[in-house]
Amino acid sequence: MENSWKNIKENPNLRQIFEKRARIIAAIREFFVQENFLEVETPTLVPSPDPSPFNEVFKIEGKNLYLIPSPEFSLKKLLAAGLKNIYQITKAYRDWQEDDPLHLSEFTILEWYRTGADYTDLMVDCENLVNFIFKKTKNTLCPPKKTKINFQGKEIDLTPPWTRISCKEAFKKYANVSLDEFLELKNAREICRTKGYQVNKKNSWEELYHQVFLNEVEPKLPQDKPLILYDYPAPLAALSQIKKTNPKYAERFEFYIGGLELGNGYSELTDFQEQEKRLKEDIKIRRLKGMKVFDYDHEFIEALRSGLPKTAGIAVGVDRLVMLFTNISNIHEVAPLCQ
Amino acid sequence: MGTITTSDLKKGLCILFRETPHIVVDKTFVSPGKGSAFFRTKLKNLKTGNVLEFTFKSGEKLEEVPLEVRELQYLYQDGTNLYFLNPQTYEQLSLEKEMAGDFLKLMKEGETYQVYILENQAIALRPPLKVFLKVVRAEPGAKGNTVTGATKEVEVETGYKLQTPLFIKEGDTIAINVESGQYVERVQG
Repeated sequence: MENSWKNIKENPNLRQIFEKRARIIAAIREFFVQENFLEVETPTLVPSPDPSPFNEVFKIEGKNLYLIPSPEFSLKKLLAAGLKNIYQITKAYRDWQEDDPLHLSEFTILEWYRTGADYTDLMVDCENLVNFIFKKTKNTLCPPKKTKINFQGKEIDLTPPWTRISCKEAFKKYANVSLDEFLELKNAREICRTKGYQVNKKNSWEELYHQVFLNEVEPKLPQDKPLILYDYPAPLAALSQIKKTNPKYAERFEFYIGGLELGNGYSELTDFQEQEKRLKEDIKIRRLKGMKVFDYDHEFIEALRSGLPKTAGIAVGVDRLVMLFTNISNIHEVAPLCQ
Repeated sequence: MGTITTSDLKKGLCILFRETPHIVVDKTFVSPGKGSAFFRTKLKNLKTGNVLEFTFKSGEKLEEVPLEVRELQYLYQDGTNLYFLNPQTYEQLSLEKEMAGDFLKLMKEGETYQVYILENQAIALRPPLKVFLKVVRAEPGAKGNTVTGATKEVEVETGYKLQTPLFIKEGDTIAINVESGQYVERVQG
């Protein structure tokens, strides 16, 4: 259906989406109040957004300002300034080149940062938050007896603990690939070629990894319970810390419910030199790919240099939470009027 | 045959995949968290009718198989095949039922549909975005039934049943989205 106001007018059912969204956001706030978190607001217009080469940003015409692809840098500045346990619900923007059912150019993101914690604490936060939302938004006329939801024909039991599987275990189990070996670009190319994928010299390690992941691993991940996929290979560390016990992997996880990826969390990288190196690298890749190029956020590096406390942080797509709790498979349908 | 890349991929295109012609029945853009762009496709094997999923890296090169599209009139079906008439040549062509997939439930005898032709054989259907069908059975709208949402089940002339708003009545013509199988709008009443 088209995303127009006329549709909402003609179809009273669509109002339920607004009601559900409002209840989900109210539940998120109630949860974080209980957890003693402080809600903060940070700018959506910044001179130096996150330069991740996987998300193109929108530039404000005639000004040196960009719409944020995520509020992460500003939130970390607040942590460096001494604020503890903070969260934000904000609009963020990414310029997708193609239309697809899981991404909006303008979307609502929830981020929270737990100080003194690591990524395993965040996994528990995710379990608790989703169960809290379930409890607060369930149909009061005929309340379900069990903590189960139906999403796209799948019944999912939300009861903690959720299924936890490391990237290494998942690759072994579902693609019969040793991720330790695959980590070498040379081996990755060889393994992909043997499996019948197209491989050329321009392909990055990340592309080869994701081609195997998307074709052979992700579709087979169990969906009877929410799933936490953790310990990402170090080249996909993004803004997370490398594991001290095994530098081939990073303290990063994503969680899926009913096959829908909902959040991405880290034990946050606090080393300012490593962070600066990764930002410069990202900008170099942006330039090579012909994407928008800007200076990296020196203030962010300065903040990290002054000292970021041990922190774990995560971003969760609020629109995707709405999809989950309304059983709608297309993100555009849960964000009426949005692009 | 011509070489194309993933950015040219679109529904209805026929490509050579693992040395067999496949029709692209679905294509979505996939962007893994902190990863490059990919294209997830559903490909229908034109020899077996099987549909498989494959995710291409953005920029992969593919071979396109040129297919002809003809407007044919759907005549009737038997246990295994659908039969079509080419109104220009009066030639009759058959297509295995399986190749119509889910669209079969929305097909009406006498209607004209687009059919893919390879070497003068009908090999697949190219379903329209929506179809217009007459409602043959509809219960009167119940009032105050807000628990299940303000919809009801109706049956259209092909025997397919779907949920519509309460104001739809017998004799109405409604538009149905072919891909989702869901109600779009009332066309005339």
